[in-house]
Amino acid sequence: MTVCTFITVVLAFGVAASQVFVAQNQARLDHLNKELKAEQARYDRLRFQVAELESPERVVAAAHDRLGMIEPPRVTYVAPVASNAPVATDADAAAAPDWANVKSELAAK
Amino acid sequence: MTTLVNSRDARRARGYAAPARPQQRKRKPVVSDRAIRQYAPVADPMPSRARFLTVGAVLLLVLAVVVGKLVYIQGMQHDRFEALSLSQTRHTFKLAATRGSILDRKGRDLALSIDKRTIYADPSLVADPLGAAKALAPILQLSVRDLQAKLTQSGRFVYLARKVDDALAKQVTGLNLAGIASTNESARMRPADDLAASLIGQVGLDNEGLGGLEHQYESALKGRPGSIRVDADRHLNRIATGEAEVQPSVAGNDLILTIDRGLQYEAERLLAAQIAATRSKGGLAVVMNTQTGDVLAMANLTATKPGGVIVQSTRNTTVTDVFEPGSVNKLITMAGALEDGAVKVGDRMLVPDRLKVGNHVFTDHDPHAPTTWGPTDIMRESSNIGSIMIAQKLGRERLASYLADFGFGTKTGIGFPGETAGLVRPVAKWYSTDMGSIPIGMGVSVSALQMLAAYNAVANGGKYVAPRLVRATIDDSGAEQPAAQARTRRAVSVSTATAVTAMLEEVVKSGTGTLAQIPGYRVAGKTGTARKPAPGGTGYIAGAYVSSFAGFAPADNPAITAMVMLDEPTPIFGGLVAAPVFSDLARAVLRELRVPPSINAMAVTPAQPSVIQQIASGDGDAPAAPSTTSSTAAASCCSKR
Repeated sequence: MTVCTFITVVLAFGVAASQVFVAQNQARLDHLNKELKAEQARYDRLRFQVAELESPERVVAAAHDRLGMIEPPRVTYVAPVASNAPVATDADAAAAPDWANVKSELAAK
Repeated sequence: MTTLVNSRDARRARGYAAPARPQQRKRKPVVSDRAIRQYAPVADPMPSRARFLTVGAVLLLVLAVVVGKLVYIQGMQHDRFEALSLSQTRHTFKLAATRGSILDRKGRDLALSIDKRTIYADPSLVADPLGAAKALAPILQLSVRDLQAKLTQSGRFVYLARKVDDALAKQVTGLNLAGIASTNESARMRPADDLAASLIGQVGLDNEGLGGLEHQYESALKGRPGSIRVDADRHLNRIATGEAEVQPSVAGNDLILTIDRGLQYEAERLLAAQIAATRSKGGLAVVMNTQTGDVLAMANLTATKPGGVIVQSTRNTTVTDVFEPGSVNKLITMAGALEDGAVKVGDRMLVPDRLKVGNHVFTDHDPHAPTTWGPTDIMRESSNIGSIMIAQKLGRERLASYLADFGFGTKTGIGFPGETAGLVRPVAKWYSTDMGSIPIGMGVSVSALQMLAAYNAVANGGKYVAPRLVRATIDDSGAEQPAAQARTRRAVSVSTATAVTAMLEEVVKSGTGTLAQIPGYRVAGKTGTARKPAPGGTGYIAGAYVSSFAGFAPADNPAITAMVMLDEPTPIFGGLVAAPVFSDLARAVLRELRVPPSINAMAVTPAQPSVIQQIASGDGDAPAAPSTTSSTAAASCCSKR
């Protein structure tokens, strides 16, 4: 009889404890889910902000207004020339300064 | 004096006689049950039995009632009571799916969804609707009347303001008004503001695609909403040990477009500047990768009035609207005639400045004496009569066939909502004048995208490539699924494409399209200045023109094909208003794509004799030297733009 009572009491406590355990973990899970959602929303907002800051219109406006930059009046292209372009000759090579000398001079500076 | 405190004594003292007391009944001695069990003799069985039966009967009756009720609830009315119970504890919440983002070709956001706050009310909990309305009105920028009407309506939920800024939501919740609360709601945002707005399209308040790519790819973007069914208390706190059934939501796919955000901006900027400078009604600019068909920029702008504010067009006019192309259509005429052998590059013909076709007399832009021109000269001078003469050699059936081969009359396959197939009559229904009008781009209507694709076919060595706007999709798991490659088909042979390219290059080098030149690159293209058809389909609007330029660069190894069109500009000539935009835009695109400059770009020989010789010798004819532009034509070139 006593043993049965004891087992019953232990079982009752066990069930109660497990319920508390489940409830606590559920609360923790809910909290983590809420945090996850909040962080995801924060990430999305920051991503939007970055995209907004990187948008061409804003970059151009910042270049104009804050940095005082202007559109280039013209663009100069250096076009490659055909095979009749001058090529380096042995004489050019001889006239060129020796790299070892240049290097030592640069190092001295 | 003795105070009579006892009421009985008081009554006695006043002479009342106490009434006789009833004789008290003798009490039975109280004996405990235990004592009875131990010492009492066995009682009379009859009364106990009667009590036993009575109690038993009552208990049985009670039990029967309980069991009956149990059977009634659990058996007969099981479903009803179960539903009643679940309705109080089990709640189903919708899990919204995040709408996929729209990214440019480099993965930069063009449209994405973020959470915003939505203010709502439970009118049944609002005690003072007028007071609440007065408090909310200045914050929500709504009238007190409207708010009061919302706060007094029936039902337990009403939106007050949707998708507002966090700061505003905080102001509202800071008022601590009963029955007013806020919740998160996904809102569609465009970080680059209205960049490519007519292309991307719009979404509704409930995030459903209403137009543009948002509508076209609605099924891919919207995702699949999920649901969660849980047991919760009356305050909607989840019961930990209750049941839970989760159907997770699936986020929508991200779309990776072929559009380049920077180039789109540049296209819109240049186009807007030219619309303003020419006081046009609007315009469009579109660029595509020659080999892949990827559309890199697609700008559609409209002026609220000539010289007014320039805004995004409400439609993607590049795809949805048709126009009579005018001289840019001469490409088809020339390519078809060369392909069929109806005319050869080295041919010469005497071209007058007017020609009667059917009952209509067609003329060149400027009067000139009959001049001997070759096909290259005709293209360079954009001669209407020369083009009509070439078309007559080709024949109406073959011309109609080439229009179809270059994609006129059928949709490009880009799949954009509202895409037009253009207006090309079947050859059996051509009027007698059509052999005069269609070769020079009148009496036929196409979308700008169709015309661009036709030029791209020539740039791509004669192979037509269907333009496309979406490069890939990214699914919920992050895996990238490439979109189908653009469909290709051969429109004309490589040799024809090469010959036509040489002619188009000549147009830019010394013809009507000189303002399309790009320093350092060889450019091929054609100008167009077409009258606008009158509403109703008969005649043209006086003084209203659509001016365009279509071309590609570098001509020696085409990387991009582009088209610019302006609606009713001043001046009217495509070579003056559209060609410069092409030049600036193509230059920006070539720089962005790191396309190396052409070799000796500024020293291109006229009409590339080597190419012409190749074509001509292939046909067995002796190569002919390209003609030199007559002084009359050269003098009038600038007025033909």
